Amino acid sequence: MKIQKIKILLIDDEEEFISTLAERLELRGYLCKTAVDGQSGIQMVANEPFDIAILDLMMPGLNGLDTLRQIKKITPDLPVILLTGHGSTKDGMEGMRIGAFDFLIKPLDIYALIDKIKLALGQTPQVKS
Amino acid sequence: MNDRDDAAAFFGKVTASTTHELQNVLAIIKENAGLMEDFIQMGPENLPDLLERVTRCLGKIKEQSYRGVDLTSGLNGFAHTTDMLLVPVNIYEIAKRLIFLSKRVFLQEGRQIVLSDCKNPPSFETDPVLFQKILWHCLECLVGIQDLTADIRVTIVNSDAGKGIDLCFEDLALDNASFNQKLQGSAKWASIQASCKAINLTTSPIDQAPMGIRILLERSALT
Repeated sequence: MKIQKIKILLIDDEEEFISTLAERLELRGYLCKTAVDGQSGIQMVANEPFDIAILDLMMPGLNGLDTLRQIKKITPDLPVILLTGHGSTKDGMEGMRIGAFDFLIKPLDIYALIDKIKLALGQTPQVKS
Repeated sequence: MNDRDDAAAFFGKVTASTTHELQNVLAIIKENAGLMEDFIQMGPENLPDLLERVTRCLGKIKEQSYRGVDLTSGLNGFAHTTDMLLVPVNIYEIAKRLIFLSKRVFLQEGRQIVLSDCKNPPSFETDPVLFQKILWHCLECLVGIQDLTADIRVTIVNSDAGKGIDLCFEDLALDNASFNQKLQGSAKWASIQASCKAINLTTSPIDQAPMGIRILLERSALT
């Protein structure tokens, strides 16, 4: 289960969701930090390096697409995976046009997320064990 | 846009927002169930605080189940308002449900909608779909006044002034003339007034602090 420490930033206003997701990713050897709004996420990206960000599109205040634009201004090479709901795939496509690596639909499949993280980081994805 | 399309668009927005929130509820439940699976796969020998961790996951699942029930009950009640064209409507209860369901839509715009408690709310017989659509459009209208970023307080009116509902900015620094101009210049204002007239309501700007919109029932409409 253990893999090299990759640093992930999770941005989502659903605190219970990202704290649990962070715990699951940490059990798999990732290092996670969380932000509960776009503005804090942008600040964290500006203050410390991350290998990848996972960003919810529907957030109060600064929405996901605007947060993505700001992140891309600060760190154009940071891969970003977007999270979206059913019926919002149009926003996911728009996010990819802005520079997101890909998008996933909530509720998530952890194995699909890990595969996507690996692909974004140029690693080989693994089949669900 | 005709009345039917307009009502469909309103129902669509509220439903989309509520089901999006339900997806978040399910996502949290799914992640916590997944986390418990992870614990089992790791084996209790590797997790000395297993019981505490599992209890925490179960607590979150329970909490989210309650949240999901509130959302589905609210959405179900909202959907059933289309059942009949004319029913007795408790203004406080219908506003409470609409504000609960649409909370996320307005939070996206950076606004919180707060409903004041009401001990003796008035009721009247009306078309509940049209009434909710009017409330929704009033909120949209206020939120759409771009340079005002205050939250909005909704208060039931049940006094000598009449019976109805006020939707006002919590904190506002704008002169009366500018507020009236912005409100009445809004694309939705004429449509709000026409809808109000159709169900025996009157609507007017409240141009003194706290500024906003007042909707009153015509005396003949009261039960």
